[in-house]
Amino acid sequence: MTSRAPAGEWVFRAVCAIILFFLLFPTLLVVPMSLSPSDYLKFPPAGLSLRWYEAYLSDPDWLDATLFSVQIAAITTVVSTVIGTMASMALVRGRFLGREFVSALLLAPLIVPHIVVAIAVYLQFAPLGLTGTRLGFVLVHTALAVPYVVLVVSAALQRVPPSLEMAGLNLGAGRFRCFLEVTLPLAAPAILAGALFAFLASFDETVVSFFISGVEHKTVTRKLMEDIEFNLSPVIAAASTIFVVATVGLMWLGDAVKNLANRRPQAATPP
Amino acid sequence: MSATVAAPGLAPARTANAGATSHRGQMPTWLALALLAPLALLLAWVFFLPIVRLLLTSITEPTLNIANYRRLLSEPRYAEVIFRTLWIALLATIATLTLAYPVAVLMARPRSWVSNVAAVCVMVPLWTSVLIRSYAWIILLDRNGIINQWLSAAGLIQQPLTMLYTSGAVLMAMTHVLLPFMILPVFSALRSISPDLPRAARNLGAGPVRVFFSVTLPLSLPGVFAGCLIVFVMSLGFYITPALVGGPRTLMIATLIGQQATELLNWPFAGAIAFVLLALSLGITACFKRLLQLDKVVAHD
Amino acid sequence: MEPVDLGVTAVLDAPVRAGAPARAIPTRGLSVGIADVWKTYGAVTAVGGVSLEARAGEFVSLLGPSGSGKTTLLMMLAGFEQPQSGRITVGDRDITRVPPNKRDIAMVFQRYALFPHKTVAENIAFPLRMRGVGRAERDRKVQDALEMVKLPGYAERKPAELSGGQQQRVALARAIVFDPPVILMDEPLGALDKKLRQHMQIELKQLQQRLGATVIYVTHDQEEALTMSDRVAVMDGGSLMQLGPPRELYDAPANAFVADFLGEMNFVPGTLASAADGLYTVNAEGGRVQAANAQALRPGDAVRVAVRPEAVTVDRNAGPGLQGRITHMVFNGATLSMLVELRDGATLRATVGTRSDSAEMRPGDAVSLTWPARDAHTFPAETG
Repeated sequence: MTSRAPAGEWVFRAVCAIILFFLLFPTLLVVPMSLSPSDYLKFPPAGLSLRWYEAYLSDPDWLDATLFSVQIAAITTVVSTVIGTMASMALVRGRFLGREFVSALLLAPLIVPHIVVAIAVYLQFAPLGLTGTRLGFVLVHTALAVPYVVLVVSAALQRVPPSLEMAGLNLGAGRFRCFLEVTLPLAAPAILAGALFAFLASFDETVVSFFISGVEHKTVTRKLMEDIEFNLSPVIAAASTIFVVATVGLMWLGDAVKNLANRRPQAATPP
Repeated sequence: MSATVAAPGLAPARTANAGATSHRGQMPTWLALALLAPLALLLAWVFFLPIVRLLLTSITEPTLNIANYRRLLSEPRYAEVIFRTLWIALLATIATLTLAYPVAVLMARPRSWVSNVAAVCVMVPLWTSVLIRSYAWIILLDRNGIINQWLSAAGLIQQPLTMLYTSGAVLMAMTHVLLPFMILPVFSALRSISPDLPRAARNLGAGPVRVFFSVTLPLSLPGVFAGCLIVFVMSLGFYITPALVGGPRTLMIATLIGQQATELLNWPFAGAIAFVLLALSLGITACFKRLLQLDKVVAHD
Repeated sequence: MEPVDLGVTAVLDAPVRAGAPARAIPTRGLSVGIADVWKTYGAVTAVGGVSLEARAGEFVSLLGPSGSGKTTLLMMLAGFEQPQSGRITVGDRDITRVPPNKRDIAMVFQRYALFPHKTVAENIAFPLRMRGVGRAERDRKVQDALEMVKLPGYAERKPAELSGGQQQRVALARAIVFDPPVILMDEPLGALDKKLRQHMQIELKQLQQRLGATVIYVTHDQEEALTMSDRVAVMDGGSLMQLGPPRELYDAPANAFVADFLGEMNFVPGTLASAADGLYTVNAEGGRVQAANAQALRPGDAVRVAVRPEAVTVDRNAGPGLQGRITHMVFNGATLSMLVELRDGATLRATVGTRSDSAEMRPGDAVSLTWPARDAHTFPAETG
């Protein structure tokens, strides 16, 4: 790279700057919008006001929906992390016919469009009275979130040398003990990262939640969709900002934890 | 004094335990299956079964027939929806590729504050929910929205432009939402190119433009194809953005499904459309995968 | 196999530099029996009908090239692979079907397999915890083990902070801390540099003799096997080629593979002429030679005569033996190697001391090669 950048380089940088602005501006637009004191959408906002945050925090509908989403996400996280980790162990350490095929099937929820899942699950749940219930939401959100856990945890497990588990067995630990003492601590960062991604997958999930929400129980994403369509007001911006900050914060944490897992020496390899 | 065995004799009669049960201390099969069971059962009941039932509904109501499919593919307004979706998906793919490539190149450069900033600019939108980003486009494109306010404040327009609820709006918003999904695979491919290769090319006399077209671009193609596949298939099944930013006159496949299911309660028809969407998504994925293998083979020549 | 008083023999055969004192036959270890064990993977036979027995307290090496089945055999001893047929015993106990965590056999892995998230002390204490040993006794034993591997004070370190040699010792300490009667080692010194490896070979051997445990040691390095073992089991292609003390394998190989695998060996092709007094006379190109009979052969058979380079006498005068011309001379420090090209184009290698008379020769000299008949062995010619 020459130290004197040619003209083409400056054009390149300008183009990139525009594209990055295009990426970032709409994303962060909700933040200044939420601080606007006026009723209608105006940018730049004339002054700063927290009234829309107050509106959000004092509106029982919003709070109910938020609480509901958090509850669902929390339960989903626990369930999907547990069964996702179990499945990852089986996929990475097990040997059985059709392992590759099963692995591909388990990742299917990532590929199928959510709209298909939404109406299919609605048809399945409605006659059973599961629509709008916590159980129903947790079931379907878990199905959608587990692939993230499986991806992250499987990758980490593959980096744990089987000889460590063999050493554990050789020294007298039973299989479960081995998992607890040897495998789990080494996979813990990845499991944590997987749990974070599962939480966010559930909390941000919009399409399926929209279709299986009931009148009494709806997720915050459903409420957002409804209000955007019928009740456009800057409260939405306030709620969105809170979620963006929380989401980005958690995602950044998950990424940092995942990188920590990658950098940690998986085994003291001989130099 | 010492035992000497020169060559093995005939195979002895095998005992009952013919066939090893475990390999190098790995998990026995029964345990692996037991660990998989909860997830498998969940997915079977919550995911696969409902989808199969939906597809069956599309061909069995009231009796075994394919009327729904015939209707979908023959009636012009539905054919129009499918065509529009494919067209927008194609345009979105091209648009995201065009915008993604320069950014990916920037990110793939040796670590500096610039590539870090670029990374943040890509990751933050990626982590922000599609819902919120689509909402931002409503704020921007609405008749009383921000862009109109600026344009009229600058005196460029007399009347507010109608941008929202058009195909153009959907395309713009989808491009924005999907851009990170194109950037990441291309970036990944670019980063995996050994820095020695462009250096070798320069050493052998190639100028920077030549280096790009004969070294960098071809080696980045796997990432380009992966990104195109991801973006195209995601565009096909997209619901949120077309639902919010598009309108009844810009129906796409996903929003059509939603409309048929919830407004018109025509589940069998919705199921048929869903099946077509699934078939399109999986089919294109399969085609692309084969193309990717072919590409690798060609690269070896 | 005839039982041999191995305790004394092992000590006498051990290298002098190990400095181990002669003592009574060790009692802590148990014998290891492998009886007609088979292991196949589909069409491939990894281990085909191998039988051998390691006596209590013995150091036995499984030596062979990669693919010889030595590692598979070790894995079956550890319980990570199951033989299709055959029996494995430790002492009086049949452990063929016993799971790997219940065998009470220790294993030192090739890449040490230290738990990276646990400290050195926690690693070493692990088998004691599994056996329910109390805290105080655990700590004491861990300290003892660390002293024995010469790493006192390293208890609180993490494996990543240690060098390769130190990690290897920790792996060893972890294996011996619970007094196992049998220790398996899977090429534990492979990742170390040469000097360190030689040093560790001595230490390992000393440790083993001190503990009295039976050791089964897998290696592809024949020098290592010869240096450390009481007996060596040479394997190739899943079969046991020969089992015996290092000296015996070296001086009296039972087949051409063992002859070739250990040390350097010359092979002279020829036809068997006659047999008498346990000696074969062979017609080789360029002369008639004599060699001991290692295997039953008949006159007229195509054979090869195996003779060590150091057994070959090089004579400047034309005389009995094989005639040839020196093509290269290689200076090895203490020895000199001469490559002699015979009349038929074959090459023979002769090694002499740097200070011997033969060292005065030069490339191009015409020489004749002889050797004591009993120091050479006759094997069938290579088939195929």
